[in-house]
Amino acid sequence: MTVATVPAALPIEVRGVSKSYGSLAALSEVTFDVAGGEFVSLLGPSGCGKSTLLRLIGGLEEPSGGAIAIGGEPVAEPHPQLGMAFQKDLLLPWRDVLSNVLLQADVRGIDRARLRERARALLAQVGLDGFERRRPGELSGGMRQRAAICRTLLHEPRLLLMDEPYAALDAMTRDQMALDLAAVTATRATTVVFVTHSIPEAVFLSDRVLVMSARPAEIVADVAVELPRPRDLHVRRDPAFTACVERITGVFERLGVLRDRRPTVPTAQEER
Amino acid sequence: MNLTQSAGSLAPPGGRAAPRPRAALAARVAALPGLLPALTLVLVVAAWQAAVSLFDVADYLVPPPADVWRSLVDQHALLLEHGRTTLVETLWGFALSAAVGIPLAVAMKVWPLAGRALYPLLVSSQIVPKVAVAPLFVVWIGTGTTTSALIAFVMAFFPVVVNTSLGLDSVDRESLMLIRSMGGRRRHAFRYLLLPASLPHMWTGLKLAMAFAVVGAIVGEFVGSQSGLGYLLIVAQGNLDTALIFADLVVLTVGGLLLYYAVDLIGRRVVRWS
Repeated sequence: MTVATVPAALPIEVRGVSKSYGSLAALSEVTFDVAGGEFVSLLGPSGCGKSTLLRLIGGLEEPSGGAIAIGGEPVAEPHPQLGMAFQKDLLLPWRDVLSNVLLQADVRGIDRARLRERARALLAQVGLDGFERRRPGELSGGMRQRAAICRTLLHEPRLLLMDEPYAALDAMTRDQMALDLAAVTATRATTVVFVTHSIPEAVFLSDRVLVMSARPAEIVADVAVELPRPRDLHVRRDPAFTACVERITGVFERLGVLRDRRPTVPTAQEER
Repeated sequence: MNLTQSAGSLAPPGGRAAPRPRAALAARVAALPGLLPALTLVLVVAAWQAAVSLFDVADYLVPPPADVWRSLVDQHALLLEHGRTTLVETLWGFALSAAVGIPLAVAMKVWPLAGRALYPLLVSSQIVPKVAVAPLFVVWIGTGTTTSALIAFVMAFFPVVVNTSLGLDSVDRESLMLIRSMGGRRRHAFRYLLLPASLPHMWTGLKLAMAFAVVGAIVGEFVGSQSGLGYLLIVAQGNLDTALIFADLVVLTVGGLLLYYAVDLIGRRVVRWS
């Protein structure tokens, strides 16, 4: 409703959010803010509740305690400006690639004709031009995941929640996807929460990296990446980049998630 | 660019060395659709003819294939007339099973409470031999085409419900979340996800339903009817016209197969992705 006409990017507030499934506590008292247009990564070991947190922000599940607000409004259902990417590509096998991208329009009741050209342009941008009429079964895993990203971006969402969408991809495709995503989010019209367990990927993409502990998950470090966005792949040799990676690695070592026989790296003096 | 790399990876791996020509020809002939089953059938009929004349079996027990063929040709008008009755009953039973079974499966998915209340009853109702229920139908609605069609329906209905339900349950939680993340409600989930996803299972059910509908129609005609291939079987049995019984069975089998493959063919058109 009014949200669609307000151009300002959407901030996210997470306040003391807990989630448990029966006796299993997945999240405990998680609190953080994401500014409008900010790119924040949630980084943590597998099964630590990152995905759960993302679903709570997406309004797909309800928190057991605490509150979440998007653009100042409490979350009761998926935000109308939401674009969500999942670990699996979830392409529908009976639709061709273009129709799969246009599913976003179909479900939202947007006239397909209005978004067909944008869908084609998005597919071309990720190197899938010429594959519009192919069925998902004919595509490789990387191509399928790229098509899924196009579906996520079709309606120009101002809130992007991405749950390890690149986890199943090879390193090179992953780099390409990261570059594409960096380009798409460069205008800072979109607020992004990106779940990953790759430290360099989180640092490459984000303004801030929130490091989470194992279950029940808490936020144990909030690392700002002081590098201008969008970045190119060569930024990975920048001292500021490596310093961030080192610092986060240090956090995981202290958590016992990563164990190294040599002494801990000494760059992590500014831990919170 | 990575596009061309990915596109290239779609191509099949390099061709293998071609097999020797004679072996290749034999393999090609053997691969002709329906050839091997047809050859088997010819052999079986030949063995049948040989056995009947060799052991001098009485015609009223096992007639030679030639007699069955003669019966098929001589009585074709009779067989076709009764065949039409059975066909109509079968198609009505099948259509009813789809018209009731599919909406019922959807309803049980929409209202899970109703599903939990009904489904176990439906499954246990399968233990009841439906042939044994046929006399009840005769008592209620009398003999005739309607009764046979209803028995066909009762037999065909169960696989439609069970398989459609299975299909509707085959959708994973994440796909449902995807629809919800797009602001979709339950009706969107049904339209864009559950119904298309259930089509392959639904068609498995419909194929079974067609096979069962034929059986149901025959059972109905056994119990009480004045026409149909099942009725003709009873008449031929009374006259010890074994050749006609066999001819009747041939018509039933061929007709049943044609109906089954008609459903299968339409299914392949509808479900093109699997």
